[in-house]
Amino acid sequence: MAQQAAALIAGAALALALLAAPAAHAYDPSTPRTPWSQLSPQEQRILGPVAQDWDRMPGFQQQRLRSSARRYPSMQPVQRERFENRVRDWSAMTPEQRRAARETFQGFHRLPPDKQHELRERWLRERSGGRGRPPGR
Amino acid sequence: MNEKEFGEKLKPWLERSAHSLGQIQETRLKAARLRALDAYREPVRLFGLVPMSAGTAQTIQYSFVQRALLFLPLAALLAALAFQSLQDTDPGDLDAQLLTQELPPDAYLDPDFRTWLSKQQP
Amino acid sequence: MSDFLASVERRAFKQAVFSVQEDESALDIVQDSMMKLAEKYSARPAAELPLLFQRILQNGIRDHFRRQKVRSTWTTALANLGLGGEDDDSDPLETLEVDVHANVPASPADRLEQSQVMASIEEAVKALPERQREAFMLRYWEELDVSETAKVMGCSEGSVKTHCSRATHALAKVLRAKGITL
Repeated sequence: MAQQAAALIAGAALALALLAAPAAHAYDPSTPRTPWSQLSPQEQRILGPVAQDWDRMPGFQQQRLRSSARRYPSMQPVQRERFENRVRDWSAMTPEQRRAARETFQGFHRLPPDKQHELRERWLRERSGGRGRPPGR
Repeated sequence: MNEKEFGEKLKPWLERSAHSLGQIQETRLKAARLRALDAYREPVRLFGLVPMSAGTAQTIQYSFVQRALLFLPLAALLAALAFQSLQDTDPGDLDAQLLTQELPPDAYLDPDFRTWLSKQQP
Repeated sequence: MSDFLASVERRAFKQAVFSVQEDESALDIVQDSMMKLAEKYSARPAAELPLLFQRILQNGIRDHFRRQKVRSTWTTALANLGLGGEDDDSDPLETLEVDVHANVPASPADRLEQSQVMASIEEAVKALPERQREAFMLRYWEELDVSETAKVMGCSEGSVKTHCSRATHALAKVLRAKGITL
């Protein structure tokens, strides 16, 4: 009886832990690295902007980048351009910054479309009018 | 009259010319402008992912399997865990979306942006 | 972005019409240019947009000619003379071959309707050689400086000055012939 209860509690705890960890989960420091030379030619082309930094990156970051690069073929031209322009700076951020950005991004996308539009327009306007510094694309 | 003066004198005429387009042309230009702005707006469906909105975000983040886990006995739980790890949403998808939308990644790090965002959320 | 496009659309259309001589294509070119600007440069500060847009627009006009393989009389003539491409500094056709007798108004200059003056100016601009028109429009309508104009046109600053100067002389001559004083 006690064993069953314990099992159930363990099971519930496990389930709770799962529910608390959304799909975009934390990084695993033990992920093995892949040397640049082992990337396919397409991957090397797509991830070209980060080639110099690649071999110094931890495995989990490499894995994530390769995973996002898999989407490249189905991207539209404007999306491809943005990806190419932004991937380097993105990779240079700390893992904490990236995690925070992802959370904010998901929060943003939970808003209804018209609110997203409003917030987006506002930010773009502020940045080009108010701040004056060149935008990080 | 020198070149600069000539240009300055001519400009108002060119302006007048630009403003004497017919109603039809004006309408078509406006339509062209709106179309350009529209086409630029984010495509809602990216990479086969369902658009995230207030209603569906929950179901994307917490899959059916995860929700169901609370109600299963341990053995089934462990089996479901094994199944779940194979089915994990590719985290690269999220990054790809984040990197390719209209807002640059800086926006999501901007404290002002986050403040506005938290004000919008219920 | 939206504001900028709204402010530039009529001018852009007119400039395109002056070059391609026909409304439909001009509209397509303007539409296309606006799309490209919105796509690629929406994140740029507003101050950069005019220059970026002009470059896209002028490229669009040039592409149109290439695609159509229809050359204006001027470029055909140049080609026939065996002279080089678009950055050729020496424009042997220094003056327009406008039939100055054809459009002499019956009434003195000061009685011409304003719309007639405008129409004459439009015709004169349309009749300019492409590079001269481009340079003149960018300098005196868009009010870009010489260096910006050179960037948009992809030529040297010296060329810009030459093109502008020739355009001015040509336009002035035509207007004089029509009895128009600005």
